[in-house]
Amino acid sequence: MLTRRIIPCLDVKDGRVVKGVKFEELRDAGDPVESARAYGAAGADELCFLDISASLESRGTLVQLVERVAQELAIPFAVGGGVRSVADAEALLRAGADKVSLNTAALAQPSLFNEVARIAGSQSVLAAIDAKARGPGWEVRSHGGTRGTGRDLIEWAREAVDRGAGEILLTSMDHDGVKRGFAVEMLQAVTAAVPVPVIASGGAGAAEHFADAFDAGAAAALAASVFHFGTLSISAVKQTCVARGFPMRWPP
Amino acid sequence: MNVTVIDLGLGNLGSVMQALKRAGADPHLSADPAEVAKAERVILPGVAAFGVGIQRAANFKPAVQEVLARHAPVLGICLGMQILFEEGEEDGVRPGLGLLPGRVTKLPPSVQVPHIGWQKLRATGESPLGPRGWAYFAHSYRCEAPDEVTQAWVDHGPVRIAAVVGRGSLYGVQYHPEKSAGDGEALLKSFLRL
Repeated sequence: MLTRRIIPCLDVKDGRVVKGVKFEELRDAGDPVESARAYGAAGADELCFLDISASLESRGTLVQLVERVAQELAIPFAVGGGVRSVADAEALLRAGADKVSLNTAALAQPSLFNEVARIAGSQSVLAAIDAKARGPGWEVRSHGGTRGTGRDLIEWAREAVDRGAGEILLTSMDHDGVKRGFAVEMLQAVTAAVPVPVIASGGAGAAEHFADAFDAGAAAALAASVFHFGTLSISAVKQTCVARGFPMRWPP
Repeated sequence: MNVTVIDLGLGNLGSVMQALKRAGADPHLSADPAEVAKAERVILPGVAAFGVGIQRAANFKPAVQEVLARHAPVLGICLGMQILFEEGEEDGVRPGLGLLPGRVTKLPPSVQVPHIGWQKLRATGESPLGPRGWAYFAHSYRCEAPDEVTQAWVDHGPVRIAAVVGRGSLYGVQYHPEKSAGDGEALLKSFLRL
């Protein structure tokens, strides 16, 4: 049986990790390679790098970062943030990223999913969807969650998968940063609607929250600050999930 | 330890090259069939899709057969394993290299597709590669390999997925040893020692 995955997410800007990782053994908490190695050793199943740089010049820096991480890291990793074209996606995959995550650009040009899936295969295409409760359902947001799109979450998730996305990274804007748990109802609705793995994101505050997300059907759960600031360790989260009956890669 | 990695000009070769270096090898990338034919051992890495993969790999079939005739080891990884089989159905039915018996078919809609994540390998018996521990998978098609070539497997719901196959000095792994942490590195080291 597939194990459920725990995915720490690192925000990077101009080739450096921001909101630095507070691992005692790290000499340079801003170095993405050191942070990646530490998470790999701690039992992370996968990593996600999110580029929050605004400038076009930073794209080259990101590709170099991906090359350095790929040299060191023996677990898979995804890269996203500002991927605007097939060429952007291809550059990241060639540099060694296992998956690219598409969000705002794919909302403007949904055929990006088809094109990247054709060159790389669906397993390398992550549809990142930011959503917020609206009426009886959820609305998809773009531009880092700051703008409404009028699109229905379930319809957009289905379209992304039909076009070739192999996984959905689902972030609830209502739960993100609140630390009271993932959006369980939204996860249930999306996992019931699409056949691909769904990664829960937004709201992790305690080890039990990860198990709750798996209960709701998530194949993986992603978190940033609880891991970076040492509030939770990957081992504590995995042991809690094992105790709740979920198969985990533990011990790694 | 010398190992030649076939360069099909597709996919992410970088991770395989780096993992081989971490495993203590001195990998050499080659796009020349004549060079591959003389290699001490050969790796056929994963590429984008069956159709384009077999199109480019077909040129290397005589070279790989020469390597196998010398009983030198060959390892296909992920799609590099799939194209070793007789036939695939991705983007229409196409013949594979036909070096192993069986077809490559889409995972059924009754299970989560793509099959992405970590599973513990279950070995069928004696494999010189000693497959064990945790393996990272990321694929939508599987090899319907007969029992006599299957050396390790995992169960994805009701579907059995051949994880390691082998016959003579030819091997294939459906998962990504280059992304499978310490257990993946151990398998690569076993291959390098063959």
